[in-house]
This record gives sequence, C-alpha cells and structure tokens, in this order.
Amino acid sequence: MEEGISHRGEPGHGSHLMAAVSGSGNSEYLIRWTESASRRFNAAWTALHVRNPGLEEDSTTVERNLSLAKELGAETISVVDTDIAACIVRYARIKKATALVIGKAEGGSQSFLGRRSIMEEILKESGDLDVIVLRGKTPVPQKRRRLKLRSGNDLVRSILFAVTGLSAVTTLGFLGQPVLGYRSISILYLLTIIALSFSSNRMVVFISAISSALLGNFLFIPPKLTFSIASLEDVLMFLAFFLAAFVGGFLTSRLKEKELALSLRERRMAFLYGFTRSISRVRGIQDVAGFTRDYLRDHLGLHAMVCLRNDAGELDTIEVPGDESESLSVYGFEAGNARRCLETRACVDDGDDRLYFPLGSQESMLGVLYVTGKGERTIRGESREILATLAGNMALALEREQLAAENERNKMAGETARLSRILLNHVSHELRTPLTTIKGSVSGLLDGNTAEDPGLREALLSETLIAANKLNVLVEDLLAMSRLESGRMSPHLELAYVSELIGAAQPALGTELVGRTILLDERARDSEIEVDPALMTQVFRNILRNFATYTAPGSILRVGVEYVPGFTEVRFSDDGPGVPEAELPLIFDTFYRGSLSAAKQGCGLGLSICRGIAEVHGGCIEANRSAEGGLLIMIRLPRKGGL
Amino acid sequence: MTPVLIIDDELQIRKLLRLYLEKNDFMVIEADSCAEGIRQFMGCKPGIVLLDLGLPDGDGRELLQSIRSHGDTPVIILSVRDSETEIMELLDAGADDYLIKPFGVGELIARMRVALRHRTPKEVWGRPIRVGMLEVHMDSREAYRDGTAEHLTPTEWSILEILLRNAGKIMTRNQLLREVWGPAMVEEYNNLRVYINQLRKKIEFEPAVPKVLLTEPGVGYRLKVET
Repeated sequence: MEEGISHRGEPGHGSHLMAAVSGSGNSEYLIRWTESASRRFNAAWTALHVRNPGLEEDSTTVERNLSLAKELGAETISVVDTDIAACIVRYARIKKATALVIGKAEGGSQSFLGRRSIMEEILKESGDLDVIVLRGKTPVPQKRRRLKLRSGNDLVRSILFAVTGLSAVTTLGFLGQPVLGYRSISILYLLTIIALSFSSNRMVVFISAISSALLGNFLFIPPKLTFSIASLEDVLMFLAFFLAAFVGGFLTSRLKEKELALSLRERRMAFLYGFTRSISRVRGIQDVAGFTRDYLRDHLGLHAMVCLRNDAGELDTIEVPGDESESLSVYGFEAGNARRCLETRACVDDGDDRLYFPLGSQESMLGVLYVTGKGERTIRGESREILATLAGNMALALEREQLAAENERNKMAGETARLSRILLNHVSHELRTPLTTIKGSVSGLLDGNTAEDPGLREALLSETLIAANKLNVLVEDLLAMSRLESGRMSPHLELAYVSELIGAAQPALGTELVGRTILLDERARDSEIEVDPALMTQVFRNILRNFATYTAPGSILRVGVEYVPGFTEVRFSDDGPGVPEAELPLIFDTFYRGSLSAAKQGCGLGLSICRGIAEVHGGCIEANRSAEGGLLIMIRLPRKGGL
Repeated sequence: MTPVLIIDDELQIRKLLRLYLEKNDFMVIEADSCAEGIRQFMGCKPGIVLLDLGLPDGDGRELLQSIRSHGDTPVIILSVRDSETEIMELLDAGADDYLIKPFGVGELIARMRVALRHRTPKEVWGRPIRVGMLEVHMDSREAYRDGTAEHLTPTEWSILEILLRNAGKIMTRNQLLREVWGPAMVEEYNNLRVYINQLRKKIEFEPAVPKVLLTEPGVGYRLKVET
C-alpha cells in the first residue's frame, strides 16, 4: 500500500502531501487524487496555488479548485510569485511536505523558447523531496489512435492490386512463353489469384479468377487468340485451375473476413471494457459526463453531450470543465428529441447520425446521452449497440454518483443543523449576560431611591456601558464570522505599517488595555505588510483584546516581526498565564474557550476570526508558548515577490 | 441654537439624539427617510445634518449631493462597520465626518462641534500650537521638541498644516493627496503613508500607541489636538 510515496519511515502520522493546483481542468483530478492518497496514508495535505501575475489564468477555476480542496479537508494556500516552480518547492519545504503532487505539463505550462517547463523545474529543484507526477486528463496533443467500428472498405486498393497482378503475369507470359510453356503460365495465374485472396474482397477475387482464366485461355492456351481449347487435357486443366483459383480465393477471403470481424469484436470489447473500468474510478457527476465525452471523442471521434434530469423533471445540460467553447447545439442537438428519448426510454435516431441514448433503468430515468458524428462520422449497426451498452454503463456510474452526492448532502445538512444549534445556544447565552446587566442596572436607575445615591448611580451606569460594549463586540464578531463563512470577505490589499495598524486597533478597545503595556520591537516599528488595513486592524484588535482579557494589569505584550521565506511573521508574545500545551492548536477554533477562561467573558469567536482573516490573506496563524511563559501568537502573511 | 437635521429611520435613535442634543443647545429637526430629509433640509435650513446610511428609500450619496448643491452645510455620516469603502467615497464627495454605530453621544457632540467650527474659519496661526511632542509655529514654520529645534521637510509641513487646519476632523487619504501633491497623485496611498509615518515618529510620544496622529484604516487620518 505504500507505493513508495514516503520513504521517511512509516506513512501515517507526520506525513504531509502537497498538491500544486493550477487553473487547468486537470487540477481537479489532482486534488481528488491527493485527497484519496492522503486518506490512505492518514496524512495531512495542503493545496497550494501559485499565481504568476505575468500569466493569464482562469481565476474562477482556481477558486473552484481551491474551495474543492478545502471541502476535502486540505489546508489551502494561495500565493503570488513569478517563479512558480521555485515557489512551489519552497512552500513544500515550509510545510514540511513529504511528497509533492504535480500534474503533467500541459497547455500553458509547456516549455517554450528553450525554457524548461514548470514540471521539469520542480523535478530539478525538488532535491530530496518526493515528487509525484500525475497524468493529464486532457491529452495534448491527441495521439491515441481512433478505433474503427466498421471494417475498412478499400475496394479501390484491391482492384488496383488485382489489375497490377494480372497484368504482371500476362506480361511475363508474353515475354517468357517460349521458355516457360503455357502450363507454367496458367499456374502463375493461379498463384496470383490465391495471393489476391489474402488481401482483396471476395468479388474482386472472383472477377480476377474469371478474367485470368479467360486471359490465359485467349492468349496462351493453343489455339492462341481464340477461346477454344484444342486438347481435352488442356480443357480439364483449365477447368481444374479455374475451380481451384475460385475455391481458394473464396475460402481465404472468407477466413480473412472472419478474422477481421473477430479482431474488430475484440477491439470493441476492449473499448467497452476500458470505459467501464475507467468510469468506475471517476468521481462526481460532472466528471462522469466529462470522462464519457472525452472517451467518445478520443476513441471514436464522436461528439457527445450529457443531459441530466433535474428535480423539476426538466433536462439540464451538464457543464463539463474544459468544455470546448463551441456549443453542441451547433451539432444539431434538439431538446425535443432528447425529451422523446427520455419518455420512450429507447434510443432515438433522427436519421442524420444524431443519436439520443436513454440513461437509467426502467424505474428511474436519469437523463440522456447525445452522440453525433458531427457529419464527419456515421454511426450504424453494431456501433449503435456498443454506444447503447456504453450508455448503460455510464448510467450505472451516474446513479452511483448521484447516490453519493445525496449522501454527502444529507451529511452536510446534519452537520449544518448541528452547528447552527450550537451557535444559537451559545449566542443566546452570550447575549443574555450583558442584556441582564443592562436591564438590571437601568431598571435600578429608574427606581427613585437609587437615583439619589450618586455613587451607586455611577457604578450602575458604568456597568451598563461595559455590557453594551460587550454586546457590540459580540455582534461585530458574529457579522465578521458570517462574512468569513459565506466567503464574502475579499481583502483589498494595500501596504501598511504594522505599527500603524496596531495603533489603529487600540481606540476601539477603550479602557480594556488600561495598565498593560504594548512594546514594538525595532523591526515592528518599520515593517510593512500587504494586507487589507481594516481587516488586519480587526485581527490585531482581537489579539489585543484577548491579551487584555486573559492577563493581569501590568502585563506586557511584545510585538515583533520576523521574515521567513515568502512571508512576514508578526509575533505577539505576552507574559500572562499562557495556554496549556494541549489546548494551543484549539484556540483558533470557533467557540473554543480555554479551560482557564471559564470565569472570563468572551464567546470564542475572536481568535477564530483572526484565523479566518489571516487565511483570506493567504496566510496562517499559530499559537505557541512564549519565551516569558505566556502566549505567543504568530500571524504569517505572504510577502510579495520575496524571499 | 443651531438647528440640526437628523435623518435616520430608527425612531429610538432619533428620540435619544433629540434628548441629548436639545440638552446641548441644538434645535432638533427629524426626518425618517431620504425624501423627508430633503424636504426638511429645504424648509428648515439646518446648520448641520446627521445622515444615517441605512435609509430604506435610497442612497445616502444622492442625498449628500443634493445637500451639497445647496451649500456647504456640515454633514456627519452615521454608519455601521465594514463599510469603509462607502464611507471614504462619501467623505471624498463632501461629507465632513463619520461615526460608526454604536457611538457615544459625547463623541457625537465633539464631532459636530469640530464640523461646525470649520465652517467658521478662524486664523490660529498667530500663536504656537502643541502637537504631541512638538511645539509648532506655523507662521515661521518652526518646530521645537523639548526646546530644541526639530526639522520637518516641506512635505511634512504641508501635511501638518492641512491636518492642523482640519484638526479633529477626518481627512481622507485622497483629500490629503490632492491638497499636498495635486489631483494627479490621487490614490497614491503609499507615498502618503510613508510621510505620515515619518511625521508620526516626530509627533507621537510612543508611536506604538498613537494618541495624536491617528490612522483610521482604509479611510484616512485624524489629528487630535487642541487648537
């Protein structure tokens, strides 16, 4: 099972796969492959996308690929670099990946002007890193030979052979008659006919046999230049040779036809078998459709389209990534015929080489497979049978994928319901506490007796203000969280000073930081980071608030900046109580609150928002124990163009 | 008594603001929609406008434009967080300042006073002004830090002058860029950022905890100083 993916000891804990994702359609396959490999090896995996600002790339595909990877449990990183290969290898090292998974060079990544392709460069730079190269899904250029479903009809060629053969023997007969004698010439004719029967069709052999008999009789058998034969011996010989030529020719050509049919059948079987085997490995409805289309195109030169029935019972075309831009309606697809096919559950042929095959069993029709030769290739007889079988196999694969998708949906729905229940319970609790305070204090203030005691009045009012501020923080956190979750947060990147953003983060904290000191080291005072200033201020504010909440007055928060390859790391370390080792990785989880924070306020959203924002910047956030024994939080942000 | 027009669709907020503003010698006019806001603006000629951005019947930008087409009445935007881009556009389009909801009424009154003051220009250059660590003489362009002269570059002087003239008021980055370098430099935020950072180092007691020259991320800068 190890298949040499990791040679650093046992695969499993500690293994890390990194998939280099691009905007090509192929990347989806790469992602799915890496995911299943990581599952088998119980390894973590990361999907990395490096954008070269100088190259055009399909950003929607990239986004879709990255979100797919995320869905499948990968950590996703997106960075900008002009040297894609070097950047990929660098990240693989940073992430301590044990193996790097890349796709075969195709399209834009092919080498040109003597430059090495990205794949070659990665292989060269990878050093001790394992590199796994996956096949491309769309073969470029197309080299596979197409399979002929019908036997070749090369009549012209066999006639040419026959004419050449007979004229050669006749010429030889004229020239060599004195030496050879007419009987030898008859045998030569006979041999020619037998030879022809190996390569020509039956009709040509038959005609050749008759004409050679007549030619031989007319030209060589005495009396010459007549069709009569002088001696009885020659008559018998003529008949015998004629019969032998005819029978020989007939039998060999039949044998050949049988053989041809057999090999054709074998190839058809291989074609179907290959399809069935491959489709069983394809995952996802879209991919099943895409694979079928590619398979028919590559092996038969046919154009295909898959329509599936949606919930309303209407037919939807399946958009396949990497679809040729020309629409299939150009090839004469008619929705009416497709619907008829779906209703009758039988193949519909519009008589113009455009076929509609039903997909699905008697009980449930899934959709229609549309196949056309686009006027270049015809589909008849046995080809149709094969296509029908193929459609059946495809329907099975589709059914399987639909079930899987439904399963996934149910699971997701369950998970969503669970989360929203937690969210509701949690949030309503967090809302109730400050509301109770506000209601309590304000109703106390309205009470005449309290209003006369200025000290109590003051205290109640300041409690109300604190509670209101808490509510405000909670609402802002929830809004930020929902924006992050829905993926609507897109950072507007600008250069900003770390010190400036830390300064901007403080006014909103009001009195929370009182008695605590924030110290910026030399580098932090002048370092610049490329971030969305408003979002990063929010991150810093949450970290400062966290510091203020969990440390005693008099504590010191040190802010430092480190440069690691490709990243700027902003480090916040305090001298507070810290977080137990085991809880460190958890503090960025939504709703996580440390075991030491039981008595403290906070709803466990702040640091989780920090992580979300760091990630939309293409960075990450980590926690550790600080040198002073407190908490160290590191935010790693991509640095443009740099090591 | 300065008349103040509050355009906000939330009754409770209008009620609260009325209580507090009347106590502080403002005369309050209310409007709960854009259309009503424009009518009240035309009819009552308020001295200052508080404009909520979340109005049901339209977009604050249009309202701001029609207010601006009738003069330079100060306008303070009331908004929620996460709308920095919109706020910046409105400020560039002529709004005077903004406050993020929820805000303290004390802060609101302070902003309103600043906005009103800038409509009655007052020459303050005659005497030295304290800006953080610096004592600044705008007339002679001299600055002193604990009695010793501190050198400011001509660009730093220009930025400081604009910020001082608008002390307490938000200045968007584009406003600053336009005034210091001219319209061609609009959106060249990097340039400005570097100068502000230099200036901040000369002004602030502790640049990590700026108290005088404040950055409002994604929007602009504000100089907090008593003139």
